[in-house]
Amino acid sequence: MLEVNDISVSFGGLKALSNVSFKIDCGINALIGPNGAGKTTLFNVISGFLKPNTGYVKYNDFDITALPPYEIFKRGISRTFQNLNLIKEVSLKENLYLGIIEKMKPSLLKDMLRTSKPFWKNVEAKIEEVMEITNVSKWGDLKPESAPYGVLKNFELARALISQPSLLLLDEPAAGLNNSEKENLANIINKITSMGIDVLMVEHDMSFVSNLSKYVVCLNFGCVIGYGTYKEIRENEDVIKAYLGDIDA
Amino acid sequence: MKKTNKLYLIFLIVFLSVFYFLVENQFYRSIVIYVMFNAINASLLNILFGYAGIISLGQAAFFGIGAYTTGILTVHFGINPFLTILIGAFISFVVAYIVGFPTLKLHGHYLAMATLGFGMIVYILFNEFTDITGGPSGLVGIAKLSIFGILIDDESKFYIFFSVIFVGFSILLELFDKSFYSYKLKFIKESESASKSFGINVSKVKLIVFATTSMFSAVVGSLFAFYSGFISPVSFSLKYSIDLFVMATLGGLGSITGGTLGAALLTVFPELISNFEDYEMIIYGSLLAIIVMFFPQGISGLIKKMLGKYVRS
Repeated sequence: MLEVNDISVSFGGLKALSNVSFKIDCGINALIGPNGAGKTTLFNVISGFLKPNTGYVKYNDFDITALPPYEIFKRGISRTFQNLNLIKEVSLKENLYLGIIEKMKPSLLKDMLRTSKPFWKNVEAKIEEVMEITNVSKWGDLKPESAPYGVLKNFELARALISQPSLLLLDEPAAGLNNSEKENLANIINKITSMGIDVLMVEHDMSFVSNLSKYVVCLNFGCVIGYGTYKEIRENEDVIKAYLGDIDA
Repeated sequence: MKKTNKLYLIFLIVFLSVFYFLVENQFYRSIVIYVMFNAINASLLNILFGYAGIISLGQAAFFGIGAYTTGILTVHFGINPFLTILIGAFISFVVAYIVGFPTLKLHGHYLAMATLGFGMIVYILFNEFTDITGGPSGLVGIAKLSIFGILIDDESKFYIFFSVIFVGFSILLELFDKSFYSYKLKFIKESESASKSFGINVSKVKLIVFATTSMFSAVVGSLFAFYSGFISPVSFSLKYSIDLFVMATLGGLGSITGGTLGAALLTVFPELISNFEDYEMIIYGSLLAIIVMFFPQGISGLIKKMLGKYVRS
């Protein structure tokens, strides 16, 4: 379970997050809000890239607020990025190595002496498995520059998935995808949660959120203005105001 | 598991052997020895910059630390030559660790400036500590290395000895390139944030790579001191750091053959244009600009591309 409690973050005079608190349990959860609401800032706090001015983040009752990103990863939290963070120099398949490089590393000596064949076999098997789950098996040998955007998005998801997280943070997974790609992505995310992996995603596409999410947290100007099921959020007046503006104004 | 590039290693062994038997001229042999010194140093810089993205303009300093440790310890204290190599490597590792701890938090130009500053400081120290380093006049009378009772005291013996070291180093480098660990460096170079979010302790890995390559540079520096018998600060100046940078870039960053290719070209080239020595830096600068603009993968990338086209056709 992820518990965000009283998190505030300021950049100079700008308050990006202000006393944000919520808890999420298992399944698919979404973090929504208009542009500049502080969603990615909150993601950066949860994944350790930003340290908050106040408050704490607990994952499975363990305080992870002060931990660096690589320690948070070890606690079972993986993330994807808004701007694709794939490595151009290597193939898409090799990009997936990053997801397991700290979990399945062989000894450098063994690897250099070329006696780590079982390890590589295991790596290849795992890669095949996640490529199948994310429907990208046929693209593995290409470099990122040669593959369509939707495929790259799925590879980013596959890279996070191969690290076997218990909580997956997805930063705008559906952004830039067409309808059939979104449908495909929704199926993959459902498949992932059926494997026992919880998801927290930042997303702007409301139909995508409504189809998938169990609970929704809505942020505006760095504050939580709504929390509940999608139906509850849709009827929340503050949320409506945040998205459509104040009718009385 | 990627296949190793055996062809390149076989080529190195064949070339060095054939050259030894066909060319007896000591001057030409000395050029090949210098190519090998530069190739190892450029390849180490390639690991730093081409693989891990750590731009260092102070690599000559670590080469110098090895050379001066061996020089000072054998000339002033008469310490066993082999022991001086180990001491030089250890000192270089520790110095690199201490220097790298704060500086490797920097990136790009800032890191280049910090390492350049470090290189300049070490160069000044070599010049100013006249009592032990000999100052600008250098240090003479460095002992020769002896292996299994054979004193390596002439060009031919050193050629054989250093060829073995060089081929061994190239094999090591090739095996490293094909290891899982090399990906870690590539990932760090391309995206530190993605690497961190997948559990890599980026600062620690960069520090280890910086200290380890510096340690190897010091070993090569010690061997250089044994080879030349005389060392002076000019061999470890900023110019040598820049030479190495141009060699690695020209040969091909992130490629195992890059360091050797660049070193071969830029070591032999000045000998061919010795009449234009004053213009060397202009030529280097122009070459660097052309490579960066038109052939970012360097000569090794160009060769790979051409071979690829040939295979396809």
